[in-house]
Amino acid sequence: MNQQLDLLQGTLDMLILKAVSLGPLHGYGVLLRIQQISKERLEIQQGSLYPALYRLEHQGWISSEWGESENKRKAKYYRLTASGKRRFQIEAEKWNRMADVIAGILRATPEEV
Amino acid sequence: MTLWSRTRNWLRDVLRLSHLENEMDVELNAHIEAFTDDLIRSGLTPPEARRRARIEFGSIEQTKTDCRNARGINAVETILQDLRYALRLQCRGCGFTAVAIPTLALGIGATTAIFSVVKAVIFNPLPFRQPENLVHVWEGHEHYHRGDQAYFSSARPGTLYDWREQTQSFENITAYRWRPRLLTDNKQSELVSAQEVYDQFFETLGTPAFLGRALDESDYQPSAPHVVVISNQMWMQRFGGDPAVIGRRITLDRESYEIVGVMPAGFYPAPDYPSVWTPHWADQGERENRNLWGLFPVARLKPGVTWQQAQIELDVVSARISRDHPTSESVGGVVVPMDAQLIGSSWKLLLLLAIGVILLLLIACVNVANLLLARAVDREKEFAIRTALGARRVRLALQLFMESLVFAVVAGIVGIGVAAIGTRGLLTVLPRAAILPRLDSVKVDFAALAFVCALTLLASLLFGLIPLFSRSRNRPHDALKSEGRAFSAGRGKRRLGEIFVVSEFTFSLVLLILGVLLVQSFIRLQRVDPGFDANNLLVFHLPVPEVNYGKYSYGERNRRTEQLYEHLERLLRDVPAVESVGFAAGLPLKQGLSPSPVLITGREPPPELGKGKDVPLQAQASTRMVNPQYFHALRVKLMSGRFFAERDNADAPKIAMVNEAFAHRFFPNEDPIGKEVTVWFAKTTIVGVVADFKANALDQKAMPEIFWSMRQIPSPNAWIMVRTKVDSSVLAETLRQKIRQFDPDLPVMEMQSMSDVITDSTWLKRLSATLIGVVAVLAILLAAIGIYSVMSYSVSQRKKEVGIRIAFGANRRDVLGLIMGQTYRLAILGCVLGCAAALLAGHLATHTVYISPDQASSLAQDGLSPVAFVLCSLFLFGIAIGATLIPARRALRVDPVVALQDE
Repeated sequence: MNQQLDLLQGTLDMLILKAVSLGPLHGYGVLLRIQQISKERLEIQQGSLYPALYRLEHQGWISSEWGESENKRKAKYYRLTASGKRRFQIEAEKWNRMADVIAGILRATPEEV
Repeated sequence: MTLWSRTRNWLRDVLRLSHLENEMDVELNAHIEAFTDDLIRSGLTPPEARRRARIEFGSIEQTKTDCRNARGINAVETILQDLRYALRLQCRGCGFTAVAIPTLALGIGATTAIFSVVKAVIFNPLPFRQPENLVHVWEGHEHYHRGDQAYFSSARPGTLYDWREQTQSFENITAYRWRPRLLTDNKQSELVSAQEVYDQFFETLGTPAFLGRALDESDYQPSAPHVVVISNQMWMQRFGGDPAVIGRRITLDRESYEIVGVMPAGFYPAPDYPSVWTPHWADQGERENRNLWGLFPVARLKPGVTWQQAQIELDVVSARISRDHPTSESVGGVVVPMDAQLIGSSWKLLLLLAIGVILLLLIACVNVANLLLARAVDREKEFAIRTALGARRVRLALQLFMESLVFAVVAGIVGIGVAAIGTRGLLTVLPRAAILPRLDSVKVDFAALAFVCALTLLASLLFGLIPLFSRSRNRPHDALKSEGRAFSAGRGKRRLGEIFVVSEFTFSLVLLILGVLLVQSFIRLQRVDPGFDANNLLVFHLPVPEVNYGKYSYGERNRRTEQLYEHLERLLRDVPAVESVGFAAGLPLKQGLSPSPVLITGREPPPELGKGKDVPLQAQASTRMVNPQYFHALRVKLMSGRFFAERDNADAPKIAMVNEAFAHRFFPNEDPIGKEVTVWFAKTTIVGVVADFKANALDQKAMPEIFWSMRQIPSPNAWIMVRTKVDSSVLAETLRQKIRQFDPDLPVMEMQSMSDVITDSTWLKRLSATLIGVVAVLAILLAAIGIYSVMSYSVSQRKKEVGIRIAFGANRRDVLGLIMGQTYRLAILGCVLGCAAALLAGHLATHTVYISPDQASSLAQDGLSPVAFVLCSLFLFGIAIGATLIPARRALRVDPVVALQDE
């Protein structure tokens, strides 16, 4: 399965929270981290990343501070806050339950119905 | 995350807006650069890598907007942007701003200033407990309620106590009496204005003392100690506001009084403000006294009783009183609400002014609306383009709102300044507080200011949003397509402009006509011959202190006062350059006496007399006690008979002189000389007739008047008129000194020249003429600007049409006629409407400002002359023609080719 998938609606926030939960990242870093974890299978619109980051920060789930990137550039690093961590757990649990339900439905055979 | 911390974040973001923008730039750039670096590492050339990075990132501006939205700061950003744009627009559209802001500021300022005065004088409640229940009760005729203040008089103790016993409408009824008191302090004497008050006075008004206590029941005993309540003004001036003043003693009329209280500032809002109040205990004899006039009764209505109900009851009671005391000349009682009494007729002037100023404000608003409208048409294309590019209605509305707001706020701020200056200006123009009460409490009224500002804000917002509702709203392509094909502005907008012109025409014509009428009637008044010679005539008032010369009441003799007057007369006449010295009760054009019924011996008395009914005014005459020199001092001509002489003293038969009006009224076909008449209580024989002269007002016909000699019928209320051979002002100080040398306690009050008395008597007309004149000039100015801007705009809109017509060979003169035709049409419509409205307003002015029927009819006869209407209409017509002709000629001079290419 080499083809890239478009991101499902509403999942970008969750993926960002997951990405920064593994350690502080700047915006480009978040993009790379998600692509890396997904083994390049997810297509993320670069432009849509920043509004999502700003929204999460505004809601207080991530916080930011200025630092220096690997190639000596000024960069803004985002990290998960305590409330962001709780939020992520809730979102992840919800997603897993939803995925189970959907998967269950898709697996259903005529006998089971 | 709590709402608070979210709001805090938002606030922080808003406050650091430019900082955030910077950070966003840096962050997004860093992203693209990092991406580019990675692409270069993967083998692309640097330029290609940079290109790819940008393409893959997408629109940076869109991202930024989304980021701002994500933070919730985009709205603020938008508003700031609009604000910046609006300010820039104001600066760029200099012409618009330069006209619109002063126009609106003037409207706001003038309106606020006038309303501040109106509110302080008329609408602010009186400083008493439940002032709406307070009334004055006068002895007098019901004429008063028909709007003539001349026909009521003070009351007598007998009547007061009858009212107190027999009426049910009043909670309290009490009275005061003006009694100047001699205040002695360190051997210096000064006559201070004072009121002697009957019991329950302070209880009736219901205002507590500022310090100490007001007078109460304990002060009204036959043997009560002398106490006094002083005014706040006296407390500040004489005692420096010392709180320990309570308990100190002052000497009034050589007797010691203890100060028991200080009243609050502004307690008594009457034009004349007393300095001290002393209690007056009426013994049984006084309570039955029906000769002692001079009481000013004050009453508080019972809750739920209206003054009209009280009046009905008083009529019944009065009829009973005059049955019980047939000889007491009872004329009935008049109930007057206290607020109406204190303000008197001055509110009518203010009402007229208020109408004038509202018209001015309307003109200002119309002007601004018109300017905004013209600008809206100019910007139609701008908005069409923005709509075509995807701007939403809300966004455009917000921008227009911002523009109007900036404009209205700037105008409001300038307007506040104008209001402050205007109010101060009014306070210097409006004459002394003696005529308009409570002027001392006038401040710029913030409620009025807020109201006017809100009104203008509303108007400018309303008209500012017009572009939103233009026809290009839904079909922006129409507006864009019309480029190069539009010959003139849309019909709807032209119609609106026409309405503006007509309404401005109407409003300003009304003001102009009113102004001209008032100025005209004032000028006419200046030319009226008063009937006496006012030049080189010095007048002053000399009330005699009772403490030195004994009590006095009408009809009773007081030798000491009479001797004083005779002595003063000789004393003043001996001053070099003095020609004659007149004494009289009251002063022409300043203080008159109320009229009394006339009985002629040998004829039936007026049938109403002595039956508790009103004697018609036609059967009455005013009375005045004068000395023999009075007519010489005034230089009034003798028509027949003889003047009073020194030999007509107390022992001689009682005689009288009358004026021509008296002779014509009561002896139309007879010679009045030798006839015996009884007026008031005095039976006299007429010995002479003098020419009429103006006694009440310059614009009123002379009332029938009868004069008695002071030598026979004395009066304690003396005005002295000194006829001098030189300029009378030179002698003023000499006369004062002479009187002071004779008796330092004698007060010389209100010394002025008779010419000044005449000028003062016309203050109301002068004031109304001046103020309405100023308002009218401003209105004309604004209307001219407004008409000019509508017309020149409308002409500029038709430039292309003009170009085409001329290109097709139309005669320039015909084209000019075409353009002028529109103006003529509007101007004629405006003139007709304006004249009709002015007729109505003129009617209002004559029937409210000039209350006396005599005056109203004189103004109605020659005041509302068609000449004023025609001239004013022509004047405005001329302005309208000028306002069209200038831009029209300019449009015609333009080369048709240029006009057609011009966009």
